[in-house]
Amino acid sequence: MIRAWLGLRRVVCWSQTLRPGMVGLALFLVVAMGADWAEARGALRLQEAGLDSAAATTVDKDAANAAKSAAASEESSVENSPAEPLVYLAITNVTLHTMERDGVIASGTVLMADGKIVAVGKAVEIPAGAEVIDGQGFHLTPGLIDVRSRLYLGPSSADQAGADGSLDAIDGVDRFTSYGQEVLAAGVTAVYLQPGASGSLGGYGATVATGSAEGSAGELSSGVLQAPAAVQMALGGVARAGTSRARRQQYEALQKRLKDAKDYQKAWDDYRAALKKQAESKAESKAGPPAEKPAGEAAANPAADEAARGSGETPANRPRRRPGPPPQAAGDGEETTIVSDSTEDAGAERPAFGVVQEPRPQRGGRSGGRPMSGVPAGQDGAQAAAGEAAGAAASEPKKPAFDPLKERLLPVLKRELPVRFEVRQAEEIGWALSLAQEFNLRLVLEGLTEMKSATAAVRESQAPVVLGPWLNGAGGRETAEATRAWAEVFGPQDGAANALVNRVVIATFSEAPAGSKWLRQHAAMAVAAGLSADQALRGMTIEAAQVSGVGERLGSLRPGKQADLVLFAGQPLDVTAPVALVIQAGKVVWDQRSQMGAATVQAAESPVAESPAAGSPAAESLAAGASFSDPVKALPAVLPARYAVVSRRLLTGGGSWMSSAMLVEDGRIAGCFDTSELPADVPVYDLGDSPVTPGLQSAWWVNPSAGTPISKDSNAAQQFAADGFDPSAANVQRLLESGVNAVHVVNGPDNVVAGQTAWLRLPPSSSGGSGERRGAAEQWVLTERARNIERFPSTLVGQVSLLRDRLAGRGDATTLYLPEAAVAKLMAQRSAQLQAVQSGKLPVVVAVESDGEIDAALRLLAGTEVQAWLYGAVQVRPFAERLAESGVGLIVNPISESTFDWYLEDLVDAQARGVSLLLAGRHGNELRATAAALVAAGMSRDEARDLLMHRTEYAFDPNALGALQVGAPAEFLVWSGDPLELTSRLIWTSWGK
Amino acid sequence: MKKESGNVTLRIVNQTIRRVTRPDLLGPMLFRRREQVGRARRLVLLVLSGLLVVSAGATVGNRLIAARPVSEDLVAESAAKGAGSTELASVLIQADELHVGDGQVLRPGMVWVVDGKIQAVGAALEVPEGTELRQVAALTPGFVDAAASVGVAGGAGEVTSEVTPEFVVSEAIDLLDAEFARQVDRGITTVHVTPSTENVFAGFGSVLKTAGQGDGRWLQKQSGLCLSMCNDPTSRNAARGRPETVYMRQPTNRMGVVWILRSRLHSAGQESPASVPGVNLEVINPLLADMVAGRTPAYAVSRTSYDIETLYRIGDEFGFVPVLVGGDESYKVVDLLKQKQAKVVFTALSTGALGAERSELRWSTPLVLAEAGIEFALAGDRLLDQARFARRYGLSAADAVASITGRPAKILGIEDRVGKLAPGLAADLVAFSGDPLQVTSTIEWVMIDGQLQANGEDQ
Repeated sequence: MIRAWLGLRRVVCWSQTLRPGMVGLALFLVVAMGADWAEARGALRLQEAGLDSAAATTVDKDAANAAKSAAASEESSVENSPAEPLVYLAITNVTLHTMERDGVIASGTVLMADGKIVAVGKAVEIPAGAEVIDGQGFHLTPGLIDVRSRLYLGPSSADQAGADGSLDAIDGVDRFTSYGQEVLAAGVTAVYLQPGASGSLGGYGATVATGSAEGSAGELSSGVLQAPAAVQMALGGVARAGTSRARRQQYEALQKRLKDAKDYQKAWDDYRAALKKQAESKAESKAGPPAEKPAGEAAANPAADEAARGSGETPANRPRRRPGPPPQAAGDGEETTIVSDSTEDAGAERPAFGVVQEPRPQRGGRSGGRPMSGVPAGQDGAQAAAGEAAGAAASEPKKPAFDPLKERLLPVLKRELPVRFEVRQAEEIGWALSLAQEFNLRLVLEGLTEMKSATAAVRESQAPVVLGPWLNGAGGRETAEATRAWAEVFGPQDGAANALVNRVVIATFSEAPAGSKWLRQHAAMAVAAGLSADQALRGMTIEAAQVSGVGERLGSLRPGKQADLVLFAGQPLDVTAPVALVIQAGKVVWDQRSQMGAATVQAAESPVAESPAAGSPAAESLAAGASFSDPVKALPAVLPARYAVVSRRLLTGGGSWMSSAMLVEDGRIAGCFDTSELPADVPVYDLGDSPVTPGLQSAWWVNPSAGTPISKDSNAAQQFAADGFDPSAANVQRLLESGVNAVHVVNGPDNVVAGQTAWLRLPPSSSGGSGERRGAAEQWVLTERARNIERFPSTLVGQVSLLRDRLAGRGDATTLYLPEAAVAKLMAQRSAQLQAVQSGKLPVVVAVESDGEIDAALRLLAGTEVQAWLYGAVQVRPFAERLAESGVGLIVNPISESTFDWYLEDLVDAQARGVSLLLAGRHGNELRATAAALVAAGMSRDEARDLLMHRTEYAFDPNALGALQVGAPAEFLVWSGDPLELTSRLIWTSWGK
Repeated sequence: MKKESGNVTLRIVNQTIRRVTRPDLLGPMLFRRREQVGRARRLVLLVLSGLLVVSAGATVGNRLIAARPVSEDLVAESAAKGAGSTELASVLIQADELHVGDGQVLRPGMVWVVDGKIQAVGAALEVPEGTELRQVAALTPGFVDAAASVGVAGGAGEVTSEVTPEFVVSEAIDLLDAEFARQVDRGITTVHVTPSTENVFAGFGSVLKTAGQGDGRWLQKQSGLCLSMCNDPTSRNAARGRPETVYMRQPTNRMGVVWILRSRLHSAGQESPASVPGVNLEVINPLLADMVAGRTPAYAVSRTSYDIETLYRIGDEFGFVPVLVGGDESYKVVDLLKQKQAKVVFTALSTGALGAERSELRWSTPLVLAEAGIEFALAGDRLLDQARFARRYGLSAADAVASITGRPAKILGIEDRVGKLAPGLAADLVAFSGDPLQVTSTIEWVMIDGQLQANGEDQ
């Protein structure tokens, strides 16, 4: 009714705002809306085309006739309906990423009304009075969907898992949190939630709108878009729980559950069939045996139909029957495979075996659960009662016991719900595929970090694959390995485009409530790993919607779909382009446009290729990874001793690009020239537009293999972070592979004066060079880690007083049990180091966290000459002025799932006030993601590139040459695009010789 | 600054609140700048420089995205002053009932505030044209908590040693701690933050305002030396009967507490004291000597009657008079306290039905102390509730209000700055909708140094 009412309002409005002749058109809208808005829209298009419009929009021709006939029947009611204007919202002049057949429409228009998209195309007529947003320079996509989120789920709901399928994600949803807004502001308008992924069979997942509970209107107030949306299954889960054998047991348990559910369904179907047969035979006996018809065709008989209705079966559920022979014939002969004796009585008395047939009992009727798939609740009771009455005299078919747990699996067996199957390794992937085949499941594969030998099987299966996480907070290790693995998976297969690539859906697999806000970063990383930009975008929109059970409502710009839209100030996959505007169900829920000048929009226009429409040759070549191969071809496998590299994008000292040629001699940079000035005899490698940069630098790296020595003295100034550094360790190799060639290595955090740090160049060729054995800074720790109740200090006050005393040269003593000579040497070393700190020659890095610690550090440093950097500050804004005044810099933690947008904005703001920043990270991707996030928060690109490549060196190496300077080692990187764009890939590295 | 009523849009100042778009029903609150944000709290406190009272917002990060003004006037006022400041340069507050803070009550009464200080107090005042007028049912001075434990970052006791007089809590007080805002909501405008009681000589406390900017918040960075003449210092001994283990920390029992007090104080009085391993006498002894000489106040935590007796015995021995903190069983030693003219910071009402150290509590102890003429303050958080409770057990209304305002200020030695409604003192005011000691009355607003702070909805 409400829909109809809205429809009437719409009609009147249309008739007023457009032209009188369109009343009829509007009328059929009313009717069609109730059934299918898209159809109605198609009809509208036909009409418009007939008048004068030439909109480039999808036209559904089938809708026209139905709508016309409907219009006639509704005409009379229109006259009585009250008029209320419909509010139109249009975004014009915008680049539309439709995710439909239209592909990308440059300078198009989207028209919305009543929470739905009304028109999409190049020439859309905008009704008078519509609110119009000029999207010049912006890109518009459907609202993004994270298909693996934990937004709104409390810790217990998200982490505790099930193994019997009894859980329901919507029961754990608490939309009263600010995280929803944070995720919404990142352009993610819907998320798929499910019970904890460490359990083999948790239960139902749900697709939920983001945003805050109190803000959403109408049907969104509960936020639930689709529930249940899928069934969660996993082997081993995210945590890689258990051994291979344990996972095998999980698999067998799953198999048993599915089989039991299948048997259960059979038992009920058989029971139904028996009841029906009984009713039919009664009807037959009443009407007299119809001599002209064979018994096997009784189901087609009108009398039998009536009998079926009498026993509770309705036409609504009859179409669910499997196609095949008529029920009776089936029951008697072919499908009763186990029970050979197929008389009525035998079939009914053995309910455990029999024909698979509808209907089955519904949860809504018996268990009090949510009704599903449109089957009326309560019908089973009625049916059972009717059945009992009918069969009172004859032998009663035995009713199977109702089992709510098995009930929950039936939609899976009937392919009404997909199975979201999380598997990581080849072995489990194989098991998942075999389960899917055995029970004919609608499979969605998730995880797949180590596909390896299962790659071919995954390619062959038609299942969508949900991949992630790409932006990993746990040290970048998994990211690195997965990225390597997926690059192979995405690659061309036997020279042809890879079909698997077109089924990839992007997810964050986030472990933090607001982790879904980094969805775009994950997608960009996937592109860097070889996925096509087009598919990455589809994997966050239309395909994500389909996997989440909302493919008909969300995920593309199509008339009739819910108006969930995101306006980006640049290419959607360029994470440095901020989200400008978010529209959810037709309402503007986030508007950042006033915060960004036109300059931002212009600057954000990046050289990322326009994502071509799916199916176009360009998309094919992208999918095949061809776009990354060209610059590599320009470089030989082994470089000569003397050569020159030419690029139109060579990074200069200030972080900006320069078109230049770089001459390299004996592994060192011999000069930068204009291309024409190069010596004639030098081999020249022209890299074209591919950016050439120095290596990335990390300002805070704890050497994992060094351990954390807890000194008996809280003052462990003599400890040296470079001790125990192993240049061939795996983590060092990962750093190098990701483009990081120099790190500031720090000590463990257990001592208040933690020791000396080191500035280390990682490439093997540069070890043994100058500066490695010298301390880069002295490290202080004001965080909780250095407090110890068995050793002074146990409080922040104690830490401050210890450092104050040290700075003042008071009370320096050691409790270490050492010979006198050693003590004297130790004291001399501490004293010399102290003088360097006091005079500002040796910088100090201070680990802090909470406000109190930041405040204490700033008070400690006030009025001294000490050059200091703070690392780990949770909050910057209240201290920005004091940091700037005292010249104390900040070492920025890499972004993680729990980083707030405001934190990044505060950093940019602090930098604008004069606070120096450095970037920390454990992997090149972490550093780049952080720099990109800072750009999205307002930092200039040059500045961000400078942070990535130069600043740390200047801070910790007084002899720093600056990278890519004459005399510096020829350590440089060649990228497929700007390293600030996470879609860019490191395609070539030179570490000196 | 841009203001629309109804569906509020506030696009404000200093980029602190960037947009406020939708109303919301979560209840009114104060938005305070520089508030710790995002720690699993549904609502985040923010300010637009100075103050704006709005009802509640949902947030994105620390960005307020929804809010509704409680008082249109206040918003308009903020808007008029441009930067959103609500410092009221000159304001006259009329109250039906005005508690001066020293036991006097004016009905009606007026307070004239100019530039954050009280200019005049009286039954009727003449003020110049243009002075803003506010009317309230009842007005008291801001409450003073003489024994608080808020806002200390990283531990309030250096428990690695039992003698830490050099410990100063002001070194680690986090002025941005959200707990301070909660104190403001409860009407508490001044707190004496003390170190924890696990050391015999615990260190120095600090007296500061619960709101304000920068260094102006401090009243005493080092208030006085805090001692523990109670069982608490023994709790850090982990020897469990093994006298020679490394887990041994002194003292191990109550007698040990007394011995450490006595031996350290004795050492402090010596010209050339015998050295003690692990103790830096050069630093410690001057601090103790100052206390003994009365140059530094002493705050001693004692709860049971025998600890109180011991405390004053030691005081007599070395010639100093401590302020008694705790005092659970002070009703048992009323005569002693009277004789010593003791000042008592009574915290037993904040510890619940079972006293600390299983001391035997009596609800009427404040009344007993008042009748004996002993100077006491109610302390240890939720001061208004404590005063109301004491009133329920017989304390007079005037004494009840004085024991959370003027009396604690006097005991802390800050009576010339806060605690009373008197000319020259800071304009720290709490406005009530009715009799402050009735549970049906709510705090309507709190003013600290002339700045409006909260609408007290937390009550």
